Amino acid sequence: MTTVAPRWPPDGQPATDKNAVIRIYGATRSYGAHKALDNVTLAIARNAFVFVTGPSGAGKTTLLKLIYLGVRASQGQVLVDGMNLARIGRRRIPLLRRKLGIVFQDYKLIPTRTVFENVALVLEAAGVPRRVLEQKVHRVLQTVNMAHRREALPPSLSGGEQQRVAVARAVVGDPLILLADEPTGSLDSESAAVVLELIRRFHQRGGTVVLATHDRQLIQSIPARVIRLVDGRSVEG
Amino acid sequence: MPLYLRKALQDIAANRFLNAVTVMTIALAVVITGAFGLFFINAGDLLDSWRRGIRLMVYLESDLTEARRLEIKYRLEQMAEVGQTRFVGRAQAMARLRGQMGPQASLLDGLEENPLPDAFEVDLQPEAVDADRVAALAGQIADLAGVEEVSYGRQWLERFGGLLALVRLAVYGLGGLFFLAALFFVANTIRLILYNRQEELTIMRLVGASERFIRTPFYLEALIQGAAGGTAGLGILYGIYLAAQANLSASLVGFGFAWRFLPWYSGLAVVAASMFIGWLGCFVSLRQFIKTA
Ligand SMILES: Nc1ncnc2c1ncn2[C@@H]1O[C@H](COP(=O)(O)OP(=O)(O)OP(=O)(O)O)[C@@H](O)[C@H]1O
Ligand SMILES: [Mg+2]
Repeated sequence: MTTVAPRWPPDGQPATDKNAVIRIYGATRSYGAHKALDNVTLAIARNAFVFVTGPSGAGKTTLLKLIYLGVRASQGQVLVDGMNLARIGRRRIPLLRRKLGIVFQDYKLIPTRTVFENVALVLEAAGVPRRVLEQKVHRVLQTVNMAHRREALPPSLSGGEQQRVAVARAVVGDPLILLADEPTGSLDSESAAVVLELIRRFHQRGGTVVLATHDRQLIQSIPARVIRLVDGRSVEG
Repeated sequence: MPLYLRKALQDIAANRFLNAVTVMTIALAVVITGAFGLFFINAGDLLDSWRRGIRLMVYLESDLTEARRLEIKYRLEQMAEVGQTRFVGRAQAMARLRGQMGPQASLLDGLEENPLPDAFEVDLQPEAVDADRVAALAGQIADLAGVEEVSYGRQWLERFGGLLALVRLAVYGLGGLFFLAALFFVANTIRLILYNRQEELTIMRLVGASERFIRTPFYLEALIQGAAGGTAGLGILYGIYLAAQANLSASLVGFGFAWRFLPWYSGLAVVAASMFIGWLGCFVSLRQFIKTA
């Protein structure tokens, strides 16, 4: 797919108690009687590259939501970089989210803000000075080939363009962990390669990647660890 | 420019209409309350100047002896409330009346004899001028032997004083009412803006923005609205004041009375109060919004 750098592809290094950056113990998330996630236990090592896969409705998005506190677990424990998410109050949620870069399945770009502003928002919220911010945003937009549309509003972009902006926003703040929900879902193979390259570089800088997808081709192109979900249960391998 | 201020200004620009409505509401509240306040302080001044000029006319019985008249004068000047006294003889009084009547003075030519009594014109000490004390003094003077009648603008003084007390109540009442109205408008503008931007706020939270980061621009926006509304209101009020002054001054010449606008510290207080309304409105709607969101 792309040129392969020395540390690429990542091996599916096992998570130990010491090096795990995400740990989930017996997590269940119910919506009424329906269990979107059912007693899932897993650990993800620092600097790991992990695929989460499974059929539509299997609970991939829900698993990511548990990690960024988009929803809370109905039962079980979720730990991220030493933080017990069950104990995090509303006020401290931003502390968790600043450790994360998130590519949402539906992008979640602010429709009334320009591409530049959408990406810059992460850095503004983290208090990055203006000049550094402008450089960083510009650079990341260049790497996803969106620099020329920096003043465009998201609704005027194609699905693939929006997705590239979403990925740029997720990595611009150099987070600890990248949570990517179908980050190549609406992309042609060329754009997908660009996005993957960006994610690969993020991983090479030491970041941890959790990438949810049901794209077999994508999974097969990288021999990384795969967590398979079926009806909310995890089936590793 | 600081980030928050830039965001607040961007926001005001993006919600121009709503912001304009809010600013006008605050301005209107300031104009209406301020107009009553202005009326109150100027009417108070006017009353004071009238009071300072108030005189008792002490009409004497006819055919008093010179000694009697001097005694009355002496008694009057012994009274603590009394300033100067002047004798106005009946002939002098008639001359004055002619002067006041102007062209109509010829009507007086038909009179066979002067019907006017002799009188003392009594100036009061300024601090003695309050409706009750003047009434008591007038009674005291009327009891002196040889005094026929004492007249002064009594009812007038009392009515005007009562009216002022009413205006003072109106200032407080209207002030409170318009404060609430303005607060209601500010709170609702901010709430509308919040609802319009619900999606944006959700996304901001998802990418790690703190509540402070999200809210500060709203507070700034509300403070700016308040300051703008307060200043605009004062400006409009000043315009109205100038117009009213031009129209009314002519009828008040000769009272030694000067109109005045709200003193500078009241102006500052008005702007500060408007900003407080903005802040409070923002606080209220953000609280509600966070609860429902
Ligand atoms: N807010 C919700 N309310 C009710 N049910 C929900 C909610 N969110 C998810 N679900 C249900 O939970 C299950 C798992 O959903 P989830 O979005 O995690 O699936 P997914 O694996 O991401 O699917 P896809 O590949 O289509 O994105 C689905 O059956 C879904 O209908
Ligand atoms: Mg999903």
